[in-house]
Amino acid sequence: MFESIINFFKKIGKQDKEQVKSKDAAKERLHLVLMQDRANVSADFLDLMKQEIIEVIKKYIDVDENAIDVRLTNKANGDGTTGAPALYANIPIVSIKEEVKTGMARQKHSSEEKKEENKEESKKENSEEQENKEIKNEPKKTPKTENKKKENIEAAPVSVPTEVKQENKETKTNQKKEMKSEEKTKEKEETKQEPKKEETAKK
Amino acid sequence: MGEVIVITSGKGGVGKTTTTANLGAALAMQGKKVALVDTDIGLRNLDVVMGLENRIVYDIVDVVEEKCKLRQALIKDKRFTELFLLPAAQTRDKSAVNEEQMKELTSKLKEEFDYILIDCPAGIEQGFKNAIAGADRAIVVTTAEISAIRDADRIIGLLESSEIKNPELIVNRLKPNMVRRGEMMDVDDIVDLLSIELIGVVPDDEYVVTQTNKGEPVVSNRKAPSGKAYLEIARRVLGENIEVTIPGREKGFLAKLKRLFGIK
Repeated sequence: MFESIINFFKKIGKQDKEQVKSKDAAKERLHLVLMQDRANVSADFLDLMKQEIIEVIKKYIDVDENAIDVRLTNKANGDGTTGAPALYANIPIVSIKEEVKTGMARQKHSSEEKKEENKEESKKENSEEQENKEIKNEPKKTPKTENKKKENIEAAPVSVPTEVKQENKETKTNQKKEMKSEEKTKEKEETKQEPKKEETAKK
Repeated sequence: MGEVIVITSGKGGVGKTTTTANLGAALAMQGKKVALVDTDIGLRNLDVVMGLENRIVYDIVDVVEEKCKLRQALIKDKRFTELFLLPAAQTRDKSAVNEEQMKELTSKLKEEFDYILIDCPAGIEQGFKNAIAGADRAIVVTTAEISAIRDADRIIGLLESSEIKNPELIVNRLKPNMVRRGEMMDVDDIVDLLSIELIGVVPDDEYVVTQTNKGEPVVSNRKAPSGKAYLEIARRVLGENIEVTIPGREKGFLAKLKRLFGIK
């Protein structure tokens, strides 16, 4: 008798958990599907983006290409509810390239010689480098970029055929913001080239 | 000058036709002169839902092709003072009418009626384009199902890229008991996902089936909870600023008591 009562309550408890899942599963799945629909992105989009991200990262870091995991998920809020959609990228690092390390050193030297504005830029770069180093320990999930993405999605809630091109552009900019790496490479490429010029000038 | 409202959903079977019939009837009960236009050419159903299938002589294609006058094709629903139906053709397809012709037709109807409700076919092809061509306003119907919400989102996107701005939402067939158990998405969740204005929530109701069996709108059955919801939606369509009643969240002692005993 006593057992049956306990079982009854256990059943109720179990049911509650399962039922919460069904509704939340629907919500979570819809969230992602709607985002993809609205941005009018195909399945190729992620592959394309992934390939481009790899190309950029390969310039600086040796990565295990087969182990790279890029996908769209929902960010989990602190209270366990599903938050804004987020780009999740897990990029295992094999090693950081030697050239890049020396390149970084050159950057610091050259930036000291330059004006204050440039110093600030290099500081930013340094902070980004620190973020990059964090990848080693954790899967890459930069909170800043997630916030940015959330804003963008809210700003462009619904996809419209005539606006598709614009939307695509937006998503592309999102990607850039998302990874920051593309921006970084451009900046770094510039700074890389500059010291070389200086060297040739000295000669 | 009347207002043309298209009732659409993207997905089929979520209750566009039922909504058109009942919203039309509810508006007619409020003393408005209403025309219902079935644009689901080839798959007409508004006539049977209204119980007017035996009175069809001419249809929308006959009007567009000028085989008859508009007035000849309009069927008067005798149960209401000023409710008319323009049926779709059953033996033709969606390409029998184009967007220009629809614009012309709705502008003619506007002269005579206060409200013109357009029952849109499922899908996003020609039939949909025809249905929205002459519309001033759109009501999107969805259920709490994942597929219906996804399609509704798509439709909202298409509406917003057309000339129709600010579509309004009806959540149909809500099951308060399932929502309470967390087995069905809540109205708030749906509104959150679709981010358009909510104009009404219709509870899942067996009266819809029984009334439709008889060819009578559910608004004429006073016992039906769904009928009440449609009457409320009609008031909001007319511009009254009343709070949307969400099934399962009714205020008052009796509602709470009923909920306690699981009646609703």
